[in-house]
Order: sequence, then C-alpha cells, then structure tokens
Amino acid sequence: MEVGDQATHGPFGLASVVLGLALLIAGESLGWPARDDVLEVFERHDAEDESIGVVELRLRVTGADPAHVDATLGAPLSSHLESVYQLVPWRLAAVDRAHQMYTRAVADREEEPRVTGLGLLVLQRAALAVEDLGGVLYALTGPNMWERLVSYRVPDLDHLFRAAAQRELDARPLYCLPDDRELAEHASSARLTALTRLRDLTLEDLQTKLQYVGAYWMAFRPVAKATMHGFALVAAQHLLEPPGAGELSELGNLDRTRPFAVALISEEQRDNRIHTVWHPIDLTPPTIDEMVRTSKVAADLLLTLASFRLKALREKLTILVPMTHAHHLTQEERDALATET
Amino acid sequence: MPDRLNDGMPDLRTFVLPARAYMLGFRDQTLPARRCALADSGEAFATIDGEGHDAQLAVLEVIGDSLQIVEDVGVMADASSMVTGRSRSTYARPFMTLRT
Repeated sequence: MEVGDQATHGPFGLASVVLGLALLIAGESLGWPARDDVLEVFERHDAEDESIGVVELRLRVTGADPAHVDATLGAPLSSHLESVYQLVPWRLAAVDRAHQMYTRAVADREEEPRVTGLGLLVLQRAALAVEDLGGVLYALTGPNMWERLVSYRVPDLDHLFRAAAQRELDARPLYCLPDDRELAEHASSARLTALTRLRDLTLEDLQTKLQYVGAYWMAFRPVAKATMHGFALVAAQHLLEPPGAGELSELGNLDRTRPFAVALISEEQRDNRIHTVWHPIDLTPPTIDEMVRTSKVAADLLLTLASFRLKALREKLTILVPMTHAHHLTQEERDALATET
Repeated sequence: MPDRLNDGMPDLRTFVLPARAYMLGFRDQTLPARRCALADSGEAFATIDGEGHDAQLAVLEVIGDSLQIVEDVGVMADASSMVTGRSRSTYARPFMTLRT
C-alpha cells in the first residue's frame, strides 16, 4: 500500500490497520464464508461472460391496442406501470416491517446506535418508495420516456422534486387531467361547472401530495442515499460521549433531541480539497412516523398515476376526470353529472 | 495546534477520534441495521410462493440488502486508500474529513 505524508497520515500504513480492523469486524459480525463456497460463486458467475443475465424480452400490454401503446407510452413503460400494482404494496410492506423493528427497539430500550440504525432503515425504504414515484414522473416529463426511466440520475429527481415542493411541477398533464379549453370542448354546458370543479379538486389534491413528497425528498435524500452507499453516518452516542469524535464533534450543534445520527457527505472540489457536509438527522419516533406517512403518500400518488395512465391507454383517451372527489360536489353538481353519461 | 504524542502518531482530533467514532458506528449502528435488513428481506422472500413478480421483487430486495454490505466494505477500503493519497474516488467518504 502506498504511504502518504507520515506527519499527517500516520506511519506506515495506519490505514491498512484501520481497514483490517474494519474487515475483521465485518467478518466476525456477518460470519466468514467458506472458501469453497466463494470459489464456487466465481466459477458460476464469470465476470467476463457477457451473455450471463441477458434475456431478450418481448412485451405486450394486455387490454390495449398495441399500435396505440407504441404511439403513446410504449410497451416497456406501460408494462412497468402495470407492475406498479405489485411494486407499491411490496415497498410499503418493507417500510412497515422496518418501522416495526424500529418501534420494538425503542420499546425495548435498546442501545441508541441500534435504534438509529433501524430508524435509518425506515428512512432508506421510505426513500425508495418516493424514488419509485420520482422515476416514473421524470420519465413522463420528456421524450423517450422509457430511456428516461432507466437512465435518470439523482440530480434529475432533485430537480423534479424541488419543483414539486415549490408547487411548480404541473401535475395536470402528467395525470391526464384536462385544461380549461379541453373541458370546454368536451363537456356539455350543463356539466362544465361540475367537471371543472372535479378537475380542480383532483388537481389540488395531487399538487398538495406532490408538494409534501417533494419536500421530504429534498430534506432527506442526501442521508437516505448515504445509507445505501457506504453508511457514512455516525451515531449521536459516539459523537457525544467521551472521548468524543474529534473534529466531527465540532462541525455542528450537537444539542439536539436524541436519538439522532449525523451523515458525513464529502465531495472532492476542483482544487482537490475535500469538502464535508454535516447532515444531522432526527430519528425520534415522530420523525420516523412522518417518514412512513410520506412513503404512503408517494405510493398513493404512484398508484393513481399508473391507474390514470393505463385507463387512458386502454380506452384511447387523452384526458380524463376521475370521480374520486365527487363527494365534495354540491347535490346540484352531482345531479348534473348524473343526467348525462 | 495538532495534538500529537510524537511525530510518528497521527493527529487525535482530525484522525484517530473521527475514525474511532466512525468504526464504532459501523460496529454498533451500521452492521446491526444491515443484518436486520438482510434477515428481514430473506424472511420476506421465504414467504413467497411461486416465481411470479412478487418473487422477483423479493429476490431484488435480498440482492439490494446484501450488496449494500459489500458496498460498505468497498467504501471503507477506498476511503482508507484515500488516506494514503492513492484514490480520488468520490466514494471515499468516511475518512475524507482527514483531508480538510
């Protein structure tokens, strides 16, 4: 191993010792795999063999005209929207299981780092539910939708969710809702008022939920990603209790409600200097509950999006007005909708 | 002023204590969470019958949870090489504060 400046970095590979200890802890905690099992995995999965794992698929969307599918969403994205009906319950179940583990750890008064670790697991799984929504929304906001879905990057979702949090993401076209001109063209005069109000109620509900989810993403995304890629998070206990964490304990205000953790996210600047951002994260039960609620709102938004888009696809519609909020209409408005089909 | 016992020792404030806190966090926070996540996704997979989309999602979750542990080790290895000035990877996070 290359040795850097000894005055700054320590003598002869102290990093090697730290790494060795880390691997030892990981190995002892997770269990060392048997040598033969490891070799067998390498033999079964030759990294040079590009044919492994490549399967050609032909997709057909049931219940829809294939030509119309190709001309609109395309078969891959349509198929993905179909799968949302299974993906969303799966995501929510995973969030729920993590939440149960966290709640049990709090009730059993387990060590704080264990509680924060499980809280961060809730955060991670809730963020994945939000990302599922973000990916589809991002795909639908530009051309080559399938390409956008499978190639988006974190800054793309940041841009989208920032707009959502500021109510600048227009949910109307995404959810196939009509604009005023389209309503005037397609609705009879008797129904126009009721349909306009129904559209407005639906849109307001969607925009409010998108604002909520967007704000969550912008607040928690850096920490959620940190839990997925390296877990550079220090528990409050190790920052606060003697002998402390050196300069890590000096980077920000530690006078916070516990339990909490601090994510340390570093970026290398153009001049090769490292800039580390200190992200404290509240992991108390009310905040964890909020994460769970957010995942449910994101799930609702994604299911609604899939159902609207697939209905429009199957019935060759460009716009639709759902009856979800019809109970908010006046009796007169409901009568107007009922008199015509 | 740097807090060194002698010229051969790394700085306590910028090296030893931050690394200690991170390693303790890895032992007490990260690994228990990773083990819970992996056990949980494994149990969820075990409840699935058949090979439908639910089973595919369950397998993906197990793969995701197991790969995260592998990535943790990779990040740590890369971060350690960063200390010696060998790597410029943006993955080198945990000990990057040593360079500030």
